[in-house]
Amino acid sequence: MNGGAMNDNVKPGPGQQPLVEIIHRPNKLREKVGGTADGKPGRIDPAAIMRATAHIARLSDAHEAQTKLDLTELQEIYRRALAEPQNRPVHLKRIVKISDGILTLGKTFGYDLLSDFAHALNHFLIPLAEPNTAQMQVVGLHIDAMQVLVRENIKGDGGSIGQALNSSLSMARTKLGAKRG
Amino acid sequence: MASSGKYYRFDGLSILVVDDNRFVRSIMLAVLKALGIGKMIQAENGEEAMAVLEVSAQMDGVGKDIDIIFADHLMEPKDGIELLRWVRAHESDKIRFLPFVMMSGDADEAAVRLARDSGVTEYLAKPMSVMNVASRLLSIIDKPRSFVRAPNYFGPDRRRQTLPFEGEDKRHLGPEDVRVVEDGAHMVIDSQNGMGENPTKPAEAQETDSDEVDDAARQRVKA
Repeated sequence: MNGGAMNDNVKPGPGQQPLVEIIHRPNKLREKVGGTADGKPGRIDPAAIMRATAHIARLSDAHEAQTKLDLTELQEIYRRALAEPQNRPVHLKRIVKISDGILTLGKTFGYDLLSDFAHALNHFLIPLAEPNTAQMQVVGLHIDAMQVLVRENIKGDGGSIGQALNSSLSMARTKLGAKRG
Repeated sequence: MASSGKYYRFDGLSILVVDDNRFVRSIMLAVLKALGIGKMIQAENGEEAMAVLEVSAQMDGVGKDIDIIFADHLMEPKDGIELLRWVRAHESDKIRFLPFVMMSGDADEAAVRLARDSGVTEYLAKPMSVMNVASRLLSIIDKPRSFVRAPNYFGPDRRRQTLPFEGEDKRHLGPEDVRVVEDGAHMVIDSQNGMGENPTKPAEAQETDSDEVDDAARQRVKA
């Protein structure tokens, strides 16, 4: 339908209500946080940002311990996914969830490459309805690579070791990943 | 618009954090606390969040309302999208208009589009960082969008901007199909047939500003 003409199938008849409402709400949150009456945006105290950043930094050890636990569980679930093909979808769903947790906080604590590997693993795994043996191996490679990063405390982009791992995993995903589009 | 330069005080805000990963949740709470958020409530999954919100809907008192929801996408039982749809379909205005931030590691176009079309307010692509969280808070406070109720959608206006458009006009709806209303004075639209029913608005409040309606209808061209 062109030129602004109406669609007769959805147009309201005489006496009927409009199809669409646009509801304006007062900005109560702005009032609550002390926004100025002139409507100009406010700011967050840089001291609060620094405080939050410092809080996170103090949790670095806890993050490392948590990631090791996550990777141990990831390895175990992967083993089960291999051993129990009938329950594989359930195990793979769990792998995606654990990997999502690793992805969430990796970069927060400086493990950029760890986050990237977790993200790549999920991106590879989610579109696969029933991964074959070779594709399952790619999943295992990602878990192994994440183990290496944490065991060797490889942060940031991972330097030469990290980039070599990244390159190998990328090739494996390209070769065995689900065809998109 | 230039900043007022004033620092916001978040101690009056109450935020519901929903994530089934306890460690992620604790980090999120630590960030919010450090930013000065007054009250944080946790839920382990969408189902638990619904119970918390249901209680909040029943409570009547200043300072007891939840102001913002931060929820993970991947959760069981009831994931972030199911929770979001439940929130937007809730009968209480206290719940259905709540700002909803979806946190997800899967930020490809399909995932973001799904959240957007389910009525999300902001999308926080992981990894989580202080600046990510702070910027979503500022966006919710400083750039709130009107809500749109259409036959197949209820949530914040999905257009964040109005761009000049010179192309062919393909609108299906005209100004008479769109009504601009103020807080609380809206009607219910039957999502099955798209027709309005059970109008709750006083007759005098149903008058619309033709300029606003024209503008709203005009913006549909970009949808």
